[in-house]
Amino acid sequence: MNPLDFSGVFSRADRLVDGVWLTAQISLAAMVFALAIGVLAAVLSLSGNRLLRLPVFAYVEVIRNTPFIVQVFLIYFGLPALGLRLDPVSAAILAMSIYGGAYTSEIIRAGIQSINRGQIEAGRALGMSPLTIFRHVVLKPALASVFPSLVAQFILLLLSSSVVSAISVAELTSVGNDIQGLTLRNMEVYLIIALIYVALVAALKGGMTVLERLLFPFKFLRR
Amino acid sequence: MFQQFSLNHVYFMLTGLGWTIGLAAIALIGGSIAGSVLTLMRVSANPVLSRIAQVYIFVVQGTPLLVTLFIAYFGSTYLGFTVAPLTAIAVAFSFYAAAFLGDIWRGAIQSVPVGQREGAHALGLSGADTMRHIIIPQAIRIATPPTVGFFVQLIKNTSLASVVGIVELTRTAQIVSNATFKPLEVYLTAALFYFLVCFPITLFSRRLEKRLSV
Amino acid sequence: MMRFVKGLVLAAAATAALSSATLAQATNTLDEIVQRGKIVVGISLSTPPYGMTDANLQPAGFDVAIANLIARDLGVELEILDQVSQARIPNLTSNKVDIVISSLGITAERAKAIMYTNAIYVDEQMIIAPTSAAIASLEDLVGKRVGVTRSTTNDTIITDKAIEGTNIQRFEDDAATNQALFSGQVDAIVSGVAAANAINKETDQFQRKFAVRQSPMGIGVRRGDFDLHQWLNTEIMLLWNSGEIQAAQQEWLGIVNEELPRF
Repeated sequence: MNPLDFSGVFSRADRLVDGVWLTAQISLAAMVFALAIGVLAAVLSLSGNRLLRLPVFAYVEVIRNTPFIVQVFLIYFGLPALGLRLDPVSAAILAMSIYGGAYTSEIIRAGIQSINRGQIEAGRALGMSPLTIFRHVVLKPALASVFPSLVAQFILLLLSSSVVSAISVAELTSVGNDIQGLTLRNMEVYLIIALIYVALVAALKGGMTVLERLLFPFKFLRR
Repeated sequence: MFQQFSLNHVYFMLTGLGWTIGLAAIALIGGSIAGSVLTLMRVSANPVLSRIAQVYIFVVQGTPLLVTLFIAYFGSTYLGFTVAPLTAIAVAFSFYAAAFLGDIWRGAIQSVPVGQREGAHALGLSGADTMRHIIIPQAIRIATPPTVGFFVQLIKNTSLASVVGIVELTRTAQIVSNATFKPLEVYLTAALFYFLVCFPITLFSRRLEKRLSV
Repeated sequence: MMRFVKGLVLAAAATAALSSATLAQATNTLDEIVQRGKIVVGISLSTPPYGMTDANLQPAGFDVAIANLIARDLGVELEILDQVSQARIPNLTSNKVDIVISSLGITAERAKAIMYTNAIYVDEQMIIAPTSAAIASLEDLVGKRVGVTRSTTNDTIITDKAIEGTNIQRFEDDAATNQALFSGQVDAIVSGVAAANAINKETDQFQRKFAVRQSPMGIGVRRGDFDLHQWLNTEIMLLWNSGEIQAAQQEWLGIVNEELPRF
């Protein structure tokens, strides 16, 4: 066994920084889109209309029960056959958004279902418009109650970004793989990469905690 | 050099599927046991145990599973001993699953109203009895959907086991895809296999969720 | 002589037993292989034509052929451990395999992590692009998307030689790299001779444009394993003189080197 030698990793710190930056960018973009897809899909899946519910059911189950790498390949290599050619980064964001959206929609659906019907009726009695009721009486409390699950899902989404190295996106894992190939120092690279991911997750968790206080101050009221 | 994507290859991928199911079983059993221990630590009254569990969950959740597996298999050499591939898989997947299950199950236990615990105490039930007969039955109801959801992700994650030399479903797909240069067809076949294993579990979970919520 | 898929379960147990024995004795690998009556060789079976599975799903390819010759001349059984690229070197350094034959390109930086034997093949890296594309030199690749399989010799060489402004896109395996070319996601790819031949056989839509550089590939040995290293170099010389390396090159790579560098 060779002694650990990190010099080949540290001398390429600039590339790691580029990788971290790209990982952060595609992950954040995917989180925003996944949330939007999730809300839309959750609302459709709770609608009384079967024609709306069924496609959402199919979307959620196909995505949740097949490997993410296959979805990535289909979007990057399969869509050109249909005339849609995406660059690797766009394909990665699209794939991650679709993937994250499926899980997010299930979480948000549970949140909406936990809203007491009495609240909605109270909103109506106060003369609120359906849109106002949806936004303030249904969606906001629903998101507030499932916020921890959403954060957990976003962490998984961040970690899943490592898969898109397969379609040549130069994110963190991909940079790590490059350095492994150049130096053959696999263990050293993985130790550093793992530390960086833990730090990224810590940053995401911290940011989400701040966001939770800003968006849902009512959760932190003293009783 | 190019081979046509044939039934022979599909058969090869089926042997990989066998490994995938076996690995998933190991991961589910090991993860459930380790997850239970971690949950008990996390909800215990002992602040040191609870704190250790919290840090553990934070670190392991933040580390990509591939890296955990890599360290479990190859890292042990640096400590002067070696582990067999299946041992490394059992250890890494158990550690990984424990972190997520510990978090899910803690949330479920803590969501049972405090009043219930107090009521049980007032009725003279011991702490262990309260846990067994009052808290856990209610917590299981809340924890089932996310637990099954995580299990499905765990099954798909067994694809990482190829790093320790196990030729499971995803690895067979890689091998066939590189021999035939037909990645789309090959990976779609693999996706279908995963779907056939995972979808029944998801459906079962949905049904369970509906029945429990009544 | 070769046990593979069915041996995987056993491999799990055997590897553990073998490795702990290695550690306990800390002797030399050559003696150990002979005593054990078996050599464990790490080969990636997803990198045709070097490592692959044949129509009967048995290991095949150039690396496998060389491994067979080595086992034959050592007078021991051959066990092949399939490995993904990230596991090649850790398998070696943590005693899970005795040697690695995995189309390992030789570079100075890599030689800090493992020892290389003399070369068993010198590949030529070439640019492959649509027949209609006007690409004749590295200058023509500026502003173009060039696909390559990550961490391969192809990658090392194009990264080194590419002119500023060339957009290199790295994929995780050859199937994805080729697929990127076929689906028009990249303008050209860097590939070895054998893969280029195979693509030419399949379709005339793509053709070889020009060669970038030559690169030798060797067998990987643990650092400090000098006895085994020396035996392998002797073996490579003998196999070359008997024409068996050339035969394996012809069969799997469709090209025969005129000579192999020795160092």
